[in-house]
Amino acid sequence: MKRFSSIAAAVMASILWPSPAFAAEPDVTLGQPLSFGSVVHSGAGTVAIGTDGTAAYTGGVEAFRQGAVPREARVAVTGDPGQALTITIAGGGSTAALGSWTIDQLVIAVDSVQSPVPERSAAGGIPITLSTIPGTPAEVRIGGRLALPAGQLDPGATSGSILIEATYE
Amino acid sequence: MIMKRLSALLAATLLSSCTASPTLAAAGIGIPTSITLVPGLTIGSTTPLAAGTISKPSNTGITDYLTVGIGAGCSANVTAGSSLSILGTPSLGSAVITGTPGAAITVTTNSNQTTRNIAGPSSTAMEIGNLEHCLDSGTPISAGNNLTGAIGAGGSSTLKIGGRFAVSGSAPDGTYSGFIMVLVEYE
Repeated sequence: MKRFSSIAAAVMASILWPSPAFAAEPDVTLGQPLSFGSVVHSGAGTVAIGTDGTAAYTGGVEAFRQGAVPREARVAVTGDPGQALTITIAGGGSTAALGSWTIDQLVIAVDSVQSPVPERSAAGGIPITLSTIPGTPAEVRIGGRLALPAGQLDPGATSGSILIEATYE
Repeated sequence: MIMKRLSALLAATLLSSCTASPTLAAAGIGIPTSITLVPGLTIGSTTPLAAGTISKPSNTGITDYLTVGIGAGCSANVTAGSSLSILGTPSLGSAVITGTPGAAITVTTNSNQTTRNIAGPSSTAMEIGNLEHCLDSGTPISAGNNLTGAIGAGGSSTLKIGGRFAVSGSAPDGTYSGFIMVLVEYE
């Protein structure tokens, strides 16, 4: 009876005091949204945001410098130090929707990991290995190209979202 | 009996300890995306910079001037040399610029040149000099310099253009016409 009581107490204690050996859950934290900025639209064209935040315009799409500033998305991914994981955007594709338009050529770059990833297509997911230094998040930057069609488009803001996931290997 | 209850309690506790701390192997969030479209600039509703009908100097050897200038509040300020007679109604040139309300713009008139020739009969030309421009009720400046201002709260502004017509006594009678190019850009 006494023995069972002490075993039960030990088991209860292990539940109430989680073991430090448990794996840390991966976590994804938004640093900054992906903004294509403000543009003047006069015809079919594109605005592309690189992972360094630079913007490039083609066709009938031009920068409007008095409005929202174009920016790359920034996301921090944390988890167990040295953990291998895969980052996927938009379900592993390289396109996403913004309103009725299409963001194609999604690109990604990752820093503060064991092997930094220079800008590349997001298609297929990006394998990375977290830093072995505890508390060092992977710094993920995301860009893309938004294609606007010809014809009259209503002025104003359009917003959406792109899913990013981090999965342990 | 008590032993049996403790065993059951222990089994239940062990079971719960096995399932209570699964490792979450994936995490994700939605990254907000956005774009803002602003209306492009347009120039329309133009009216000509007009001298109207004038009588030229009777002396073919002299040139006199009709100035359709811009006064306070971008209004017309017309003056003419003593050898000219104004028979019509001179008027400033104007154009309505539309765009994003409040947006800063730069206007370039006549490629920053202050003179412009307009064509008349028999391949003759008449010079318009001292070209100047003005936005809404702002201060007029020489067309040699870009004009800066802001689109009005209602989404439009009015550009005015003035100048000085050089009328020679030897100029053939008839109509003289041409155009002045205006370029407007967002800053």
